[in-house]
Amino acid sequence: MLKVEHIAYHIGQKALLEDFSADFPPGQLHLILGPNGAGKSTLIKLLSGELPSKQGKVLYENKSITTHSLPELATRRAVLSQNIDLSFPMKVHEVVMMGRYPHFRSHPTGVDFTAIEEAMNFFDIASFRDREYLTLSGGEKQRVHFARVLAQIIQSEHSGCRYLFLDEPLTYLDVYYQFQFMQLLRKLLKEYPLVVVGVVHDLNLAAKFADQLVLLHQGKLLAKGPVHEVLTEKNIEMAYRLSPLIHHSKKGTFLFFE
Amino acid sequence: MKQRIKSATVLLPALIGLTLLVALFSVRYGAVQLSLEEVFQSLRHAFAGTESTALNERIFMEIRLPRVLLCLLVGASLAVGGVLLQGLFRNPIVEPGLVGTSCGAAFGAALYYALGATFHFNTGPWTLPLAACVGAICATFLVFVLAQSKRSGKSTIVTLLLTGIAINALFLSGVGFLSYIARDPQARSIVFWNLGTLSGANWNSVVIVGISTIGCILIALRYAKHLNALMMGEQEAQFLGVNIRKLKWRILLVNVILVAVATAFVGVISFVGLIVPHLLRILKGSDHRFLIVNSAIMGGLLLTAADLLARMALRPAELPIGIVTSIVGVPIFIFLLRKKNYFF
Repeated sequence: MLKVEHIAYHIGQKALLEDFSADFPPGQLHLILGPNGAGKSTLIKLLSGELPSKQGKVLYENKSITTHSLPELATRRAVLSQNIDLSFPMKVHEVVMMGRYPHFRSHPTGVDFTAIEEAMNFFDIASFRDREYLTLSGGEKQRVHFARVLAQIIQSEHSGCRYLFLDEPLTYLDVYYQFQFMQLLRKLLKEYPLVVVGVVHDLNLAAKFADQLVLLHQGKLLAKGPVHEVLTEKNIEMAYRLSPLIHHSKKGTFLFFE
Repeated sequence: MKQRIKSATVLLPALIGLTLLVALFSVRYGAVQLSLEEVFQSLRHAFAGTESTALNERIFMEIRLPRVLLCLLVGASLAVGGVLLQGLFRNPIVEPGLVGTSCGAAFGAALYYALGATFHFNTGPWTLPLAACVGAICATFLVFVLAQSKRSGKSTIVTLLLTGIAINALFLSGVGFLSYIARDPQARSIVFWNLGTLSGANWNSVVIVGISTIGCILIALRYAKHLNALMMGEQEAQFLGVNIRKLKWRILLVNVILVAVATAFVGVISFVGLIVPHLLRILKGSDHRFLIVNSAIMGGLLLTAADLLARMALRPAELPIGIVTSIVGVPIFIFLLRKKNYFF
């Protein structure tokens, strides 16, 4: 369970995020929405511990993240960003093995190899494990990084929840990959005890796949809850200054903008 | 090439074998040619603890052997320094001297040559290496201090890089000024020192450079995996538990010791630190554990071969080794760069 109590973040006088509290239980896909500058990235950075919160607390299973050291945190929390590139050539399986770095000292052991095999099979990249990372397409590269962050938080010696944060990891991918990754994320949640919190831009993608939504507006929480409670005409108009047509059907919620 | 050299298990023994072969050639050939028998004879004497009086055996023990060992150590230092700085700056065109180290050393040495003769201070065998080492450390320290941001007290990699370029230019013009005002034998010495020479090799320098090289390489190996993670950027490395600030300072410190100590004894030798990591990346890949171990061997190999060439080309005169490393290194480098299986 990820619990957040009254966190905030300011740069000078400007508040990037104000007094935010929420619970993120495991097994559900939590997605954060909001227009540019609403504080989505700031929130995900505070949740992952990349930015230290000056107020309030971020609790991983009732323990504040500030009590974990950086290497220790890395064995239970992974973060995936967009568009990661390498400065030097590496093989695909070497990149996935980077996810295991927090778990071994100088040489990987059996459990590390098990973890990367498991992760590569999950994201279906085992077939090009020996290819050069830099020759892959954008979609393939992101699959490698999904496998890397998965390898980072599975097969660990301590039990309990794992935390996966996604900072707009689908932004540069086409619709096919966006759907594929979302489906894989849902499958991931069934197989592992995971708290997954992600930032996405596409409202329809969020409506289709999220269990819980968080909508931010000007650094403040505007709405949170299940899809139909958050994606209302009133909330969308407030946040995005556009009036949507919202279509509810058996297949889900769809938004159209004129 | 990539297909042929599939694993490090083939490459490393091949490199070690080749290095031993070149080292054997190097101890035998020079102004005086030694026979294999004389080489083994003097080794036997050395191990038995008896001193030999034969001239050729003394040439081997007191000149050739320390020189070859110093070549191996200095080559290893410069190549591993190159691996570390390229990894840290995430940039393949970075040289180990880039943070001011080698130009600072050159300036220290130039000061020694230009002022030593004028003020007649004690010029024992340690004055020159000491002056170079102090110069190297001062210049590097200056780069670090100037690269720190006023607001946050942090320095970004790019600021460090640019400050390094600026300070290098400053110290090089200092060297230029000193060789301009120096009188002729000193001015020539400055020029020669800037091109690198191993003619001053002795057992003292072997021991000191040996301690710095081996110690620093052992420390560097502990950070191999951190440097790998850094390939994805500072942020991603941090998500993998790497303390970037600590890593930065430790890697820079190890690099400064490696380069300052090596440069202090042999002068400025460029290109080895740039080319060796490149060659290995083309041959095998960029895993830093592999790069550090193999660069240490290949750097030694390259410098020993270059030194052999420097002694043999205009026998009995000696070419500055820096000229040889550039003349031989540049064409190989350009050739490999133009091969299409190079990705960045």
